[in-house]
Amino acid sequence: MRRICWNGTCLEVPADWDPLALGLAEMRLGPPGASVLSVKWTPIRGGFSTEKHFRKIARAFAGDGEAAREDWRADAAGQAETSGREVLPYVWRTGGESGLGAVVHDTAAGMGALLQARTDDRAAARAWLDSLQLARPGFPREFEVFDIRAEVPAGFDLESFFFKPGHFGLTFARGREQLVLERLGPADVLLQFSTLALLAGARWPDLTLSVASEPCSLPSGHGLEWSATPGPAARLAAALLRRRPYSRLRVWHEAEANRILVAAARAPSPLDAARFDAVCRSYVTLRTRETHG
Amino acid sequence: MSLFGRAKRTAERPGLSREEALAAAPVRSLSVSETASDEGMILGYPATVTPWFGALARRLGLWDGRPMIRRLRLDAMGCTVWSWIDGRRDVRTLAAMLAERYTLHPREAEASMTAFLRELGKRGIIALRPAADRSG
Repeated sequence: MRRICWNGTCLEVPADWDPLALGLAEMRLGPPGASVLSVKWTPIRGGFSTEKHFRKIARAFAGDGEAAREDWRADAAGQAETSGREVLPYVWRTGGESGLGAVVHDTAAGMGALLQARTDDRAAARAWLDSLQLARPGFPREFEVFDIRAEVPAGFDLESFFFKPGHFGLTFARGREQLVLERLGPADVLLQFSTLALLAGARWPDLTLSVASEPCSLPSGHGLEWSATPGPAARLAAALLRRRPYSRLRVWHEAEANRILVAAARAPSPLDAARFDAVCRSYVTLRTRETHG
Repeated sequence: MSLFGRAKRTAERPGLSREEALAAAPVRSLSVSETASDEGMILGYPATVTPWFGALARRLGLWDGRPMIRRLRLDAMGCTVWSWIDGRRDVRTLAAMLAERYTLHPREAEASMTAFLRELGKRGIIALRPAADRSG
């Protein structure tokens, strides 16, 4: 089994599964080429009725299939409900497919979720449902997808992301403050004719230009950091032009995993160095995490 | 996004299935030339000229009808993969070799490999030989 976390929502799935599609509040998981499990979630403000949302689902299936209430969680008997979570399980079929689903209302997290599986394996679906954890307000958001893991401070919302071969990127925002996490690889190819300083200068010129770099060290590797603190004139210009003059960039090489990790922050006011450092320390490749614990 | 909207069913695509594509073996074109460069290798390959463009270029005296050679620069990673293409190894094997060589995530290696081979295929530098052809 492996744990997959995306934007604060985590669950335990078979080891050969990966995200096949990701949205800001949605993920589809399965082995390569076969989407088996879909999870969607949203914060709940005000009242929430699992029954009412199930009726919506049933209507959506009404065209060429059906969804019917059925508790496929053997011996579940209100176990989840007592832990502050209301679950409405159902079975569905459409066309030649059938599967299991559940509407979830996590009152502690203040979240509603829909889990839908293309399987009739009730034990497996029960295990996925039981392992489902939704982001709680005020807690850091966990990310553990493909080969990276990170914890982002509460309040930072995921704005955009990409997962291209060799280049992953996640961008978060809290007000006008921006946090960016990137992963580049393979490091031995990128650094064959370059250095971390040259690479950072070419890829993030706005964060490195006329800023001196300093060596930095993390448990997962060594690297460089650029920290820009503007003078009074630059602060005034930034305020007038609504720029973010305070910035911090840390680029480090995880030699064992053959990756380069990058964390960058931009803000209109002085950055919290301890918080930035905590983000960097939480941001690792799974390979390095397994090696160093 | 509708929270409880039903997942859209993916449309069926014509052509090779994922499994068939991964089982196919890339084969190099005989008309491709290799030149070593400082940071890797340059592949020379004959450019495909559309008939209307060829006719226009000839009329304007811009082209004498000889094959036009285009160049594609490969970096170190591209050179490594190019050296593995022997007409026998299938795409799945090449992706696994890539993942092993550069410690890549298997899905990332597969995506990199398919994107690279697609680029080579679009230029006519390689062709894919289906598994059925090799076994037969």
